[in-house]
Order: sequence, then structure tokens, then C-alpha cells
Amino acid sequence: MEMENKYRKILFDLADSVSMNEDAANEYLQENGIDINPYLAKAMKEIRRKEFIKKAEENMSKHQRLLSEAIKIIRNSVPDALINIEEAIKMKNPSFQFRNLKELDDRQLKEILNDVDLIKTIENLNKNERES
Amino acid sequence: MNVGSVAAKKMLQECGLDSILEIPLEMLVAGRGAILRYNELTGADGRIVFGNAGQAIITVNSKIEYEGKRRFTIAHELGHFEMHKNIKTHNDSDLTFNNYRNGDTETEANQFASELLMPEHVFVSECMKKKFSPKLLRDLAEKFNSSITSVAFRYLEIGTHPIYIFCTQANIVKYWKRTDGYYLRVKDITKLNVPEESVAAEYYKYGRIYAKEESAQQIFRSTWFELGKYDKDDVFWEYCIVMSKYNTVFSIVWQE
Repeated sequence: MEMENKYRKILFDLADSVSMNEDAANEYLQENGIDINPYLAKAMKEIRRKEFIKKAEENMSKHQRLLSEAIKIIRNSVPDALINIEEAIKMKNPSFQFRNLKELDDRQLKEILNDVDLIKTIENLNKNERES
Repeated sequence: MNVGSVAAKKMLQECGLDSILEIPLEMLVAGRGAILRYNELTGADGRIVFGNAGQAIITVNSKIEYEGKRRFTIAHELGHFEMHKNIKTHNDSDLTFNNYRNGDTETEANQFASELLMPEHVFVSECMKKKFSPKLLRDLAEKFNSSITSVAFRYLEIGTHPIYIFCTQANIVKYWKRTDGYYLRVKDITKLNVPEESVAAEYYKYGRIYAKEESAQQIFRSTWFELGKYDKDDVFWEYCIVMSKYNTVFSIVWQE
């Protein structure tokens, strides 16, 4: 056991001294015919994957919270009757394109208006959170 | 490779993922920044609405029962989110999910969803050494948890046996597609009635839908294709995917 620890220490010391010097490390690897690029690519991919999953998990709970808050705000603020739904959508989101809304009925337009309200409210909540 | 497939592959690469099988689809959507929710929708399966600051909300019809369809809907809307930020909303139903004509945003979103849910390398290996049949399409749909129509179009693109797909609606031929490199001269029937002798015509005339075991029906080359001077009127097969709700039939036609 004692001997094993001794070897382990030597190995780690050696690895440390080589890896502290990038040129020496590259030279050592090259001499031994080891191409580090595939390892680097794999490691970078794993980092991207881990970062993405972390961000996704954070977003999932954040989105749920923002959705609930936005729905509450909208329920308290939307007037019961809207005279012209298309006009209301245009007012709330001027860059909206209507070419793909032409065949929709009033109920469908109201659903879209609801989504327009939701995303607008969520973007406002987000902005407020960033500024505070 | 088509625009949608390229976008799907690029997105997965950016996320450090090899395929969607590694994480739940809902998590992928959240990680990309789109907000996903389920709600009852009228006359649509999915919808995306973009805000003014680049965020977007994807609403998926909570009434969708079939998981394959739900997944395809989410993937299709995610495709719009990744590729079509300049158009503020997309309101999608079976009609847009089954639009595979080239060059429009719906086709690109379908290509994106197909690549995401049915990655090329996995799909091709699943098709290898398997005889083409309606059963194979049904098996693939189950394996990839996707709809039979989306699987049929995926097979047309990258499958191992050449096929034609004719999209008809209300007894009129809307468009057709073929596997690349599989040249047969299709009759000049686009925007005209479906051929009288086709299986699709049986549906439009008599409402006939064949049971699973009989879903591959024998036809002849001349049913859908021109016969050249030296061509024989060989035996072909037709399998119809019927969408009664939209009075639409997808005829898959092939030769053994």
C-alpha cells in the first residue's frame, strides 16, 4: 500500500510538471504519437452539453414562473370586449405579419392575441428583472 | 442536405448533443430559449408567437393524444423558432405538418423536425436490409415515436428503397415527390382528378380504407405513370395514408 502511494505520488508529480508546461506536454504527446485533437473535441462537446443542460434546467423553472406571473397580470388587465382583434394584435405588436392570419376565425385570433399578450408581458418581466 | 436538416444538426452541435434521444424534447426547447406551454387550441395543433425582444412562446394543443404527433408539433415549432424569426407567428395543423413542397417555411420546419426526431444515421440503419412495406413505415413510426406521414416523407428522402408520394385532396392531385434519382414519368395529373384506377380514388369514390394487413394494394405502373413505347405495365403497389378530417390522402407508390 505504502509502495503504491509512493508510485502514485511520483506519477502525479510527473503529470503535474508536464501539464504545467504546455509545450513540454505537447512535445511529450507528439513523441508518443498521441493526437490530442479528438480528446479536445470530445471534452469541448461535453462542456457544451453540460452548460446547455444547466441553462435548460434554469430556463425551465424560470419560464414556468414567468408564465404564471404573466397569466396573473393579463387576467387582471385585459378588457372583456375587444372591438377589433386584428387591430389589437397590431397595436400590441406592430411588426406582426398578417398574411398567415387571414384564414383564422375570431376564436383563433383571440388565442393568438392571448399569446401576444403573454410574450409581451414576459419580455417586460424579464426586462424588469434584468434592470433591478 | 436540405435547409431544415442543416439547421437541426447545427443546433444539436451547439448544444453538445448527438441526438435528441439524450434529453427530453421539452428541455431542448427551454435550453434554446423558447417558452413552451400546453393549452387548448382551436383548429391548430401548435403555434409560435414571437415577441419584440426575440423571445417566443410555443403553444401546443393540450388535446393532442398521440405522443408522436405531440413531439412532431413541438419539433416543428422549434424549427420555426430556430429558422424563421422574421415571421411573427405560425399557426400549424396537420395540413402544415404534411406540407413537404419545396421552398417554404413549413417545409423547412418539417425537415427540421424530421432530422431532429429521426436522425439520418439512425433512420438509415433502421431501414437497412428491410423490405419496404406499410408495416416497415409503421414500425419506424413506433421506433421514432413519430407520425406515419412524417416517417413516410423521411423514408422518401433517405430510405433504402425508392418510392413516390402523391398528395391528393378532395380527389385532386395537389403535388407529388419522389426519391432522388428514381425517375418515372408521372402522368400529367397535378391539379386534376386522381387516377381512376388508383387506391386513392377508391377512398374518394367509396370511402374505402383498407385494413392494416391489406394496406399495400396492387396497382400497375400505368395507374400513376406514363408508359413509354418499350415499357411494360409492371405491377406496382400503393399504400394510402388517409386523413379523413382534411379529405386528404397520401398515396405511397413503389415497385418491389
